[in-house]
Amino acid sequence: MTKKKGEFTVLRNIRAGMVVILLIYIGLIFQSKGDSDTPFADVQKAVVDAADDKNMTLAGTQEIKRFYGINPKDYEDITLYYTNETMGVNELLLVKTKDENEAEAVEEAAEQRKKTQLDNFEGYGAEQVKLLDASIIKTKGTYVLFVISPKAETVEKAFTKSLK
Amino acid sequence: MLFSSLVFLFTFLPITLLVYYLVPRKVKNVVLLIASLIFYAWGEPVYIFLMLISILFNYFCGMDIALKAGRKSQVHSLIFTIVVNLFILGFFKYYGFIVTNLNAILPFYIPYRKLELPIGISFYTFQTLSYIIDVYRGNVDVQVNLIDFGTYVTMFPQLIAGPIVQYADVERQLRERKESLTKFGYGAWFFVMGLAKKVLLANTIGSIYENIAAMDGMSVVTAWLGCLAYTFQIYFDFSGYSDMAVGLGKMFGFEFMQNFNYPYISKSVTEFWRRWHISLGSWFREYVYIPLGGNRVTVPRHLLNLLIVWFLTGLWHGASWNFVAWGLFYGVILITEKYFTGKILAKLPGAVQTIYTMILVMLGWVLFFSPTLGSALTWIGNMFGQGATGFMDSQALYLIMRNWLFWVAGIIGSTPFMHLLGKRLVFDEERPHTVLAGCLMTGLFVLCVAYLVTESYNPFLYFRF
Repeated sequence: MTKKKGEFTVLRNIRAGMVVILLIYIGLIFQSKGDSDTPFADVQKAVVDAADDKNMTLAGTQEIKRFYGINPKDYEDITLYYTNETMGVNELLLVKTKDENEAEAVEEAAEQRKKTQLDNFEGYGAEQVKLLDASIIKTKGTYVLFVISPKAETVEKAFTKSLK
Repeated sequence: MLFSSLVFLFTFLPITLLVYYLVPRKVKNVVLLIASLIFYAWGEPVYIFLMLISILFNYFCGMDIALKAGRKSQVHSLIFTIVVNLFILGFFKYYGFIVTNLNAILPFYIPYRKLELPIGISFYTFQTLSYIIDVYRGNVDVQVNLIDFGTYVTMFPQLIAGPIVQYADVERQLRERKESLTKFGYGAWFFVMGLAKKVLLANTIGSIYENIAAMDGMSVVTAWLGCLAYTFQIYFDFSGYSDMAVGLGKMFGFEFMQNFNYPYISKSVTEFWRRWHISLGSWFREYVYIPLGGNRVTVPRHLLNLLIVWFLTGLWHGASWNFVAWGLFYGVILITEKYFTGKILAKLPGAVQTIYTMILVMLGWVLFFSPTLGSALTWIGNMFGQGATGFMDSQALYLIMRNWLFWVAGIIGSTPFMHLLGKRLVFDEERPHTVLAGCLMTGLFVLCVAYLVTESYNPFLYFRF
């Protein structure tokens, strides 16, 4: 009887300990280096290097507003690279929002941009449509990435790695 | 890591199989456990710790519950374990959803940090709950070997997308499974067929759906084509992945239950749910519906039980109101078939029954794929002319003509035709055509790899659960 009681106590303590570890783990997840802490310039360099596209031009405020319908002043940092080629669709948008909850609006703008480009090239631009279908929208913390590129997955990996 | 990725096909799987078959019987579960942890950590290095915590917690709780057999405190331990498991699932999956909804109604704002969903959490949490409840009921012996228990929870063939394996079904296999060349061969066949379904059918038909979903306006026919494309995509995607999981299980000596049984030939929605995601339906029936009383209660209570199960089924699929709506949509239809239309339906010609079922299933998928309830209603409206650009347009004709091969392949692939043909021509028990089977399998595999190398569109829809 005593032995069983002892086993109950041990198991009860272990269970309680596991719950404490779980709560600490959850706390650590929340406390972990926020994606927001990584300097924008570092993330930008990582993704631009990964895209490795000499035919892309840095966009100004007008292009960002025209292509995405968003005002750069509403965000902490924003950069857009777009292709020089007439029939090209390659683009790289990187946004750092002021608050994680703003990321959804940027994602919607990126989805709309993708949709517009698909409408533009549907029916005659098979390669462009393929690139657009394979485009990636990724959010980590306050950072949003939208990339249309043959190297989209490489850019995404660089984005994720730069925010670790 | 996906089953349909090159790193899995050419690196992870061959190495794991080689090591598994080289080591003695006693160490095979250790190999599986380590391989499964590597598999999971490949995509989720942070959340591997959550899985390890879950394994250890449930391992010790299982022992605690077994030790308290016959005592009042046993049910307290059970409740405690279930609550913590549901807390883990609820927190990581539904925290953002709960806070977003609270923020919509409260007069103050609760800030929250958006968390990435741990891959497979819905699957492995349901598996640990299955174990705990079965130990409590005395249906299984408590697992005192931590390696064996860890293997059960983490087994990579079914870790991230099912089938949900109830502990009672694999308890003996954890200790006493037998690998054989025949089983391995069938496993490889299942795996390649699943890979082909996913890569050649689901991915291609999925890109048709993506194109249609990106359109600004659509005709009635285009709306139906988009819905049909998604209907095929989700079936071939998920059933393909399940086939791969079953095939991988066989290659390691396990027998997992089939998760799909040609659901699109069903003659009622009731039958559909006996053929679609069978392991999930079984889990809810065993651990929610029956404990609530099932159908052995008064009619109002039975209706409530069904609605609770389908509410939870919808919610399990995602932290969003349209998943809840999707679940309740089926709950209402099942109640209607059970109490009102079932007998009438059974008297109709088979083709009519199947068409009726497929229309409802397709409408359900609109709720499933739409990001919001509003957009779901818009799409459904388009399907019935509301807000559509017309009944049929050149776009719709183009989609039909350009993709006719995939529509045909989708219809044929949704029926048992290919399976029966294969059984007759290749896997006839009296005259098996081994060489033909080998050539077919190799050819399909090469085709899939060629596709994976050249195409970049390779999503997996059920990954988010």
